[in-house]
Amino acid sequence: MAHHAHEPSAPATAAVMAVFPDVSTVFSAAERCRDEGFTHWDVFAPFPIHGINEAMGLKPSKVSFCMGAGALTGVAFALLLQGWTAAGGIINIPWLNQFSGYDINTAGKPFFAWEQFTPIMFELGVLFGSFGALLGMLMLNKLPRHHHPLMTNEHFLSTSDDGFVIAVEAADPKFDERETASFLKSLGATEVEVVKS
Amino acid sequence: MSAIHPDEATAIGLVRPGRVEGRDPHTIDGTVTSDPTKRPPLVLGNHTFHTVSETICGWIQQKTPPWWMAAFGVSATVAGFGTLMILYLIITGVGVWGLNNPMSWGWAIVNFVWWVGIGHAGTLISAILCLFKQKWRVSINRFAEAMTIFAVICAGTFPGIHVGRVWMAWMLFPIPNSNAIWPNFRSPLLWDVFAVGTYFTVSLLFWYMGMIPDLATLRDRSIKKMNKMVTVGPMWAPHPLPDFVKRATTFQLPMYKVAAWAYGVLALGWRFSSRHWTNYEKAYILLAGVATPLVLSVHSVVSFDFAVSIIPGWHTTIFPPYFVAGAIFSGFAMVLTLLIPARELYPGMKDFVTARTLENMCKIITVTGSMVGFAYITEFFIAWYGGNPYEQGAFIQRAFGQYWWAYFAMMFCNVVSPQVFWLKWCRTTPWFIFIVSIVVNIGMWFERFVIVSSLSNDFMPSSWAYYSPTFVDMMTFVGSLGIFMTLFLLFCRFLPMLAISEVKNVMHAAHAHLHPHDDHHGKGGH
Amino acid sequence: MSVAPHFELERVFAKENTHTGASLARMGQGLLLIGAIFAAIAVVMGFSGDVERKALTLHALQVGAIVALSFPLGALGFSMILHAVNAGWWVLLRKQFENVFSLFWIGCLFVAGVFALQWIFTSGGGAAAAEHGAEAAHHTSAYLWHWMDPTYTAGDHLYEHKKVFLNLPFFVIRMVAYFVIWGAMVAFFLGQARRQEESGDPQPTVNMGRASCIGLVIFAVTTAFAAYDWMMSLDYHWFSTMFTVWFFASNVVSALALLSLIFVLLKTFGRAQGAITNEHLHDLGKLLFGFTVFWAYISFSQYFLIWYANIPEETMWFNLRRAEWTWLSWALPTCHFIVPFLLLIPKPARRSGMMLGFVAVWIIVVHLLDVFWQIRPQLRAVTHITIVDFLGVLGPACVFGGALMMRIASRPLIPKNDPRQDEALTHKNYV
Repeated sequence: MAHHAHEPSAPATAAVMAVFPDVSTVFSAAERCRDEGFTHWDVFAPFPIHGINEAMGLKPSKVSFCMGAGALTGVAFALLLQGWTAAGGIINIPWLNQFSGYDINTAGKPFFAWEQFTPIMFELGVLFGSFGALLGMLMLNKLPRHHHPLMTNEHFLSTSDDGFVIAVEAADPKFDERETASFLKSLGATEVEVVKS
Repeated sequence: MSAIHPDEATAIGLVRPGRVEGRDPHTIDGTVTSDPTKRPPLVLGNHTFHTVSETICGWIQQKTPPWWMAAFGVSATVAGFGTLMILYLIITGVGVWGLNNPMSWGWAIVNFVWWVGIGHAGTLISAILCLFKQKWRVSINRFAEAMTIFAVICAGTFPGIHVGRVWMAWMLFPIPNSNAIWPNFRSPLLWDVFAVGTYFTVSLLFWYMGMIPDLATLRDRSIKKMNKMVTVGPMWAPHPLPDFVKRATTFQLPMYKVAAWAYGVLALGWRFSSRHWTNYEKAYILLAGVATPLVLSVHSVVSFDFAVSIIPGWHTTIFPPYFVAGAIFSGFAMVLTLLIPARELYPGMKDFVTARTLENMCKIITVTGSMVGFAYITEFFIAWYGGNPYEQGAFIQRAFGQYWWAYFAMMFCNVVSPQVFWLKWCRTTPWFIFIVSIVVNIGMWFERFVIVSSLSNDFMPSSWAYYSPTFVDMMTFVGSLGIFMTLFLLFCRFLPMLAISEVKNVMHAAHAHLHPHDDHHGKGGH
Repeated sequence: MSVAPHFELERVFAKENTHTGASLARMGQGLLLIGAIFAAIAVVMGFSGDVERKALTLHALQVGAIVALSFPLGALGFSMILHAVNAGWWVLLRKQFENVFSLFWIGCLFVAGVFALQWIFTSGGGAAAAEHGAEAAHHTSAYLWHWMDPTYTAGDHLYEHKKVFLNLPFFVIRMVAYFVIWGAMVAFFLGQARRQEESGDPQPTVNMGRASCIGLVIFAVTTAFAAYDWMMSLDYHWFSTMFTVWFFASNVVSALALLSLIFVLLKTFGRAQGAITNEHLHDLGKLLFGFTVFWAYISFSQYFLIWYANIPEETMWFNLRRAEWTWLSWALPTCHFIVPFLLLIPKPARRSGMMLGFVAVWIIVVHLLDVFWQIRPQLRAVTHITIVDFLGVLGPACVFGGALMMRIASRPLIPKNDPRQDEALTHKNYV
């Protein structure tokens, strides 16, 4: 990082990037990188490679928790909303009770019955849960992020087509521009480049 | 790389040697086999990852095909005409429709349920087939999801304009107001608002999320094209051009700049990172997990509109699963109606949408059609068994009353016609599938009409009446078809019709350390 | 790839890996004996007791019979679905599915036995009831199927209407027909499977796939009418079009739970190693989870539509259960849906043998309560669980369990020569 920046004005090294010819090569290279102990590194591929999580030593995704939180919020919100607006006498929220609904008798149904509230509880649970999953995924991936040093590289753009890339970031404690580059080369990379930020 | 050319089918043992020469004569392209030791390939032709991107993005980045312009012109005109009808309705009132006293729900509800039903296939293909690891779905899921969204838009239009005073439609939603008047949460029609609203939103999220990587692919391709300088000039210009002329006539094509920007914004900076893919795949499978009960719930809630009432012929407990089966049935038919022409019109699409895809969809149509038929029979049997004379009367009216023709059209189209797919020839012959898919769509429209028209013979024979639609009714429906097709054609023109990254993922080359059966450990990819 | 396990096929198919110990057969014999004794005591108590006790015996034994029938029917239906979709992942699990559905006759025999017992209990009983008048017969008569009681149906115009369907000869014909049809289907699948094991021919797989498509249609119709005959017609005034779907959902849930339990136990005792992996358990766990939700969806929809429309001819069925078996009516949605739903949500739970086994046992027990809740409240005279209920329900269930253990012990645990064996061996869930 700092010791690679020769002059204050020169762009700092962001990462070393290696292009691999196919899935098998990049897969075994990923296993080697994992075993080498890199932490700030990533595999880029046009599709999710099966089993790459284990090859990279990644922990299971936490998206489920985001979704669970969303779904629970949705269910609770729907129950309170319906109870509060349709059975004002039962769910009584201080300060808000001036807006709470009238107890309107519909077909002799109880004002507050779980049966009639179930459809909307389910729907809002799904709705909030889905937002939880999508937003949770984006949050965990730190997206949207429209500018990334790697994306300025012409070769890197091939990952959206048929390219397989491993990039080790300069932030990695084990990073050394020359050594990392030759290490990646030794794993079968067809091309190794230094990416400036 | 991945693919097996049809002619190689015998070579690799896909078609059992000795039984046939070359390719299986019972199929279009040799991808369907009954040999249990073999699984047909998912992608045909000599495709590499690169040619997959080229083919699918090519449909967007090519010149607008003339047929597209013609189809779009027709659709947009019809859509415009339908919009005029809606305007006329709003200005004049619901009296311009053919509703009468016992039949207070006419074509509007029929169209609503029909469109919502069609909208079920997309999420079914994406979600349920994803959970069941049916990999053949990757070639049709994007397509079907888009269809879902546009169908739900059309569906939502009808109750929206049926409320009469459209400007009061905001009262469908629980919006705080100073009168403290809230929507009636005990009404199935309000559940519809939430169910269809949720379904639309979640389908949109699912569709969009699935598209993020492909939008990034399009972004990168557009950037490459944008960076290329193009020199324009008349053919007879001297060669090489003088420098000053060249400078003036060489520029980046602005449309690629717009495309790169638009796809770029939508792609959210996706950069194909495996750390991202991990979260992405998890989120995708979770969305599939909740979308599956959501699909079931939406048409169940729609069925509640009818079934919670005490109207004979409407109140029966099997309605929820029966409506869901019918929805899947009609949705698959609509996907086939759109897919088969698209397969012919877009070069290279047949490599992905193979005979096996069509055949599997036909099988699903037969299964769901039979489920619907089973429900019809159950309803009939229990109507008799229950011993309620009103219920029996409703069923006799349906079959032999004034709308007998609708009933028999429904029976023929929904129960009889899909049975043709028991025959191999029928489910592997595209033009025939296309015809049956249209028949099924018509049948499912009639099913909803049969249910709704039960109203015209209500409890009091003195108020029985015959319902017939007006010109406005009919043209609004036709207009909704126009709106649907317009949106769909726009989708085909500007967004990736097939899920590029998912197609790549099911190719042989996508697997590290190949072993013979690696790409089909599906629960039942047949 | 790190997951391409190189299986040593000889080890997978070695005798010690594909056979259980003889102790399982002995345990099976013991359980079968216990079940038979339970059922016998229940019958004896019925004979020695009054009319009420006789009715109690019939109701309890019918619950047990339906439970013993639900596992095989669920396994048969579900394996036909898997055959029809040409599933590859499950082929090594198929043998246990076959073991379960081959024992469908036990439940059928118990239903026939209950029918015979009712006939013995009531021959001459009609006259006795007539002495007390129709009112007395309303509450206690030694009938399970009240429509078979001429005193009960006297003057009931609804019964007159349904007589075409609900009459003794037709009922017996249908009972025999179900038995013959299911028997033919089971015999076909077992025969094809045996043929493949012996000859190694892939053709039986194709045959089973094709036959399943037609088989499912026949299965749908027969199980629908069996559910009407043996469960819904116990209260012959009541009707619900959803009932057959509920019966299917409940059978599949129970069968999947039983099969999950079998595979968890096999794995725990180190059998079928390499053939049945955590990946297969994971898929079974997912299916169990899915069908639990499906059961809840069907049950809720049926209840909800009847609750909402509030028509007396339909609500009486639920009213009876809510009023007299309140605790059970609340226990079912909680224990049959919410608890297993929450327990199976975490992915490790669906993959770990311990948790999956626990949920499987849980669902089997709750399934028993579910069937109990469907049938037993029809006997209005006794609204609490008695020793006869205990014996009558567990008797047929234990006979089935014992017979199943004996059958599992007497055969190889995994099928040989399946053309899709490789797919099953290398099956893996990635997400």
